[in-house]
Amino acid sequence: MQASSWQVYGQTLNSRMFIGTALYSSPQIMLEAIKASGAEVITVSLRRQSAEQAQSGQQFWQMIESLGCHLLPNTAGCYSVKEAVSTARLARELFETDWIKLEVMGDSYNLQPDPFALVEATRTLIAEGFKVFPYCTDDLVLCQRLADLGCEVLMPWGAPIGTGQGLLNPYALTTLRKRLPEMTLLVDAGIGKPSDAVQAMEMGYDGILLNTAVAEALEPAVMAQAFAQAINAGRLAYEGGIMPKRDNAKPSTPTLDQPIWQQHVS
Amino acid sequence: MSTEAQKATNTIVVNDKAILLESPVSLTEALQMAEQAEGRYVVVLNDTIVPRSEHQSAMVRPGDKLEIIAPMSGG
Repeated sequence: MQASSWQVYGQTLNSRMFIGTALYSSPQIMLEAIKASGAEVITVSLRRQSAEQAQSGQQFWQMIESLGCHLLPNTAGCYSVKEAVSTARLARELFETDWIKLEVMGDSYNLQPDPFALVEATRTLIAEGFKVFPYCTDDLVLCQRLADLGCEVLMPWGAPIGTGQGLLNPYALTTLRKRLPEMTLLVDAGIGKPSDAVQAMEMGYDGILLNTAVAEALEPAVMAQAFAQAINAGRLAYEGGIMPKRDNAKPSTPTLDQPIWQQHVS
Repeated sequence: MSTEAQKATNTIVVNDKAILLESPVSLTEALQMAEQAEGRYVVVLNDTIVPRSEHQSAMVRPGDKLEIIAPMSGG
């Protein structure tokens, strides 16, 4: 059974998984993993072309094009508003999309987004017509500001990029979901294993963006399928309605009309 | 005129590589001189993005700087 379809900036998607195109041991393995994931949105980036890499860059492009997925270019490596905005403009021209995964880093140790620069860059890019997907922390007030600016999607981190530590602050992520009930929320970064993705989806997150957990798996295509199933299962669980936790036990088998020797006085 | 100044007046720089250019040419011609193959890329001329539709009309002059940006993998 497939979880419900959803909308991202006006595009209807069936898969709730976004997947990155980096870190695979070969282009062929990347292709197999992306196909196995069933993802309809893939993240890409851009760089200055060097003479040595000119051919590989075009080969990469042809492979990506053959997948027929929506492209979500990122502004990876940017540490200032100026860099991020310039990179976004280049990405729009290069990939012919106004979608942008906006990354503005504030610290090189944990690649934590700079919330102040992120808000400023988001304001500029939305004014220029971009559909911004901000990579942000799980700070509620920051996310509210980004929503106020017109973001239809927010992508808070689960943990720092590439760490595979899962959801480090479930309280903050749950609060975000409760306080921004209409916002499309994806957990981006830090997902290490399928159960991390299930946890986020059961919270009511709309999707998951991941890369390293698949690309660095022993069998990326197998892991991509595992994530696809986990994300779908987590979403179905959310849509199905998870029972509330309780402290006292409650028998699942009816006790009415039990044989006399099984009737206990409580 | 110093060697550096002379070089600036009769070359363009394409991704840090100097190419001899003594008179203005179209961006399309400049890309051919830089042996840029067909494909997916975007050109930045002196810090300004030049849409592909304007490659024929945009002019490149000695001393100009070109950056060629290409797709790459990303997370």
